[in-house]
Amino acid sequence: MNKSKKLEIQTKNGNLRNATFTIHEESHTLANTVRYVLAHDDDVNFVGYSVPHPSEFKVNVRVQTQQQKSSIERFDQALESLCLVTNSIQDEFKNKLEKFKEEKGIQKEEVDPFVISLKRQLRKEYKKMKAIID
Amino acid sequence: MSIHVGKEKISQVLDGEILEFNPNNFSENFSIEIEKLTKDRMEFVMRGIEAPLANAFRRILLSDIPTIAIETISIKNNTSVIQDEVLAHRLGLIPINVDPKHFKYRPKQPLQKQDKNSRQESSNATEENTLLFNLHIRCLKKTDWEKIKKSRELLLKKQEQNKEMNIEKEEEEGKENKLKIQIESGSESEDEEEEGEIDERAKECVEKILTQRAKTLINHRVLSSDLVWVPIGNQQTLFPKGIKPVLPDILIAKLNEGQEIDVECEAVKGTGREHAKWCPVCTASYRMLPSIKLKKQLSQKQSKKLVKTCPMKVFDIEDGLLEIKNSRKCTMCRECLRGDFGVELGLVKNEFYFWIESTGIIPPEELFQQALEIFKEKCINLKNNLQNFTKKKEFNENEEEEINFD
Repeated sequence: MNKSKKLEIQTKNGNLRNATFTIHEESHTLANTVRYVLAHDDDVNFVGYSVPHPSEFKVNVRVQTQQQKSSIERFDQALESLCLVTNSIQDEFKNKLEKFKEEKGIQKEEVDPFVISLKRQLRKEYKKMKAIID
Repeated sequence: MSIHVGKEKISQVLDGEILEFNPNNFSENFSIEIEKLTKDRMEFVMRGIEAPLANAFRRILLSDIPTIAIETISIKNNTSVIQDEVLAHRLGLIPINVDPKHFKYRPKQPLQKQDKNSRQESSNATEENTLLFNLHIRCLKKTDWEKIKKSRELLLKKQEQNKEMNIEKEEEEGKENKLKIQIESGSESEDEEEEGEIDERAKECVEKILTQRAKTLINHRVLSSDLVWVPIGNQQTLFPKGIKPVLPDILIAKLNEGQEIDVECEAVKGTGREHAKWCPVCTASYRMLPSIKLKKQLSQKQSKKLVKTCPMKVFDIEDGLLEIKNSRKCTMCRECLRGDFGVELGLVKNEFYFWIESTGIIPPEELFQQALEIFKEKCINLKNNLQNFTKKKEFNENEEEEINFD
């Protein structure tokens, strides 16, 4: 598969202010969200995305920034803020779910030992990924 | 509100009300309220989030969460009216009640030419990525079935009496018994059901509903409960309770006397993006919450008229004053816009009423949490790729010109 080619960046004369990111194996799900975040970024002059053909599973995201700002850095920042936002959504949802279950008197689920060990593994992997970001 | 719903069109009025997005302040303005939570369905409201994010979660719920469904079947015998490919399609759509976390994806293998007598064996099928199911049903007349039952009993008696027969003769009888046992195993449950009837009224209803066909035949309906799980490797220890389809009464095929279905199915992990059978939700959808404003002072008569025109009873008169009682119930039918009531109808841009209906494999609250996790994984994966890029600095040359906005 094209796993080695997840991302391609097109620039002119190595000028990092304006770049087109071609992301493989992605669709409107991620591209529209990244475009939305970058549109609210003060350092970004222009941002837009397109799906070149619906049969091909890739998107093009165009980012143009103010002087002396790198579009790659802005893109990176946008992804970072998306992760933060998802974290806060997760926390809020968990809290509200527990409250709702308490109110309705729903008992806690039976605990499966296999699931506990899987959760531990997932937590470790998540911590590793967090360490990579930080 | 900046989405304005008119009599004939919806317009977005940008009157300086562009909602800001700040990831640091996000949790202050964001809230979730869970309205309803059952085994299969969850309804909740998200406030402080905008359409791109909400849509991303909805899309992930539909296409990126993995489940397990039947992918390939080996047909040993199919004398029913249902064609092979139609039967395969129907089997694939049956939801199987197993948590896909325990399984890995099966790597794809190109189709190979197969010999006449051999079954296509996929060498990638291991206990970690495949589930085997067996479906063997044969439809018989009840009278014939009773004859077979009696002869089987006689055979058993004979076997007990003649334990010193030749080895060859024993083998022959053993084969006949195996056939009969297989046929019997599928229909025992029906016999038991017939014996356990309670009310007399229920008996009458049942007899009326049963057609003549059903009275004289056994196994004329092939249901999803007839799918039998065959554990391979260490799957028996991992799933001691067994693996079954979510619902036992999904009708797969109908048989007439003498028809048989003998099929071996392989179930595999996949996502909704590839085929809708792997979709974990019946549907996941959202709508924006309506915002209703009264711009005019209305007379008593007009207020009563307005209360009548709304079919969802959104408006109500309390203490002589017109009030908006249930704005949530509004279905945007625009009846209130027809008269001259001065009602301004719109959609709140950052409030979403979400509902998630699960097929029963994964509970809906877990589905939403998985969707959030998958979204985060996508972002992190892309970030890592970006960082690799900045290290390597392999850029392609771009012919496009800069777009100016000055």
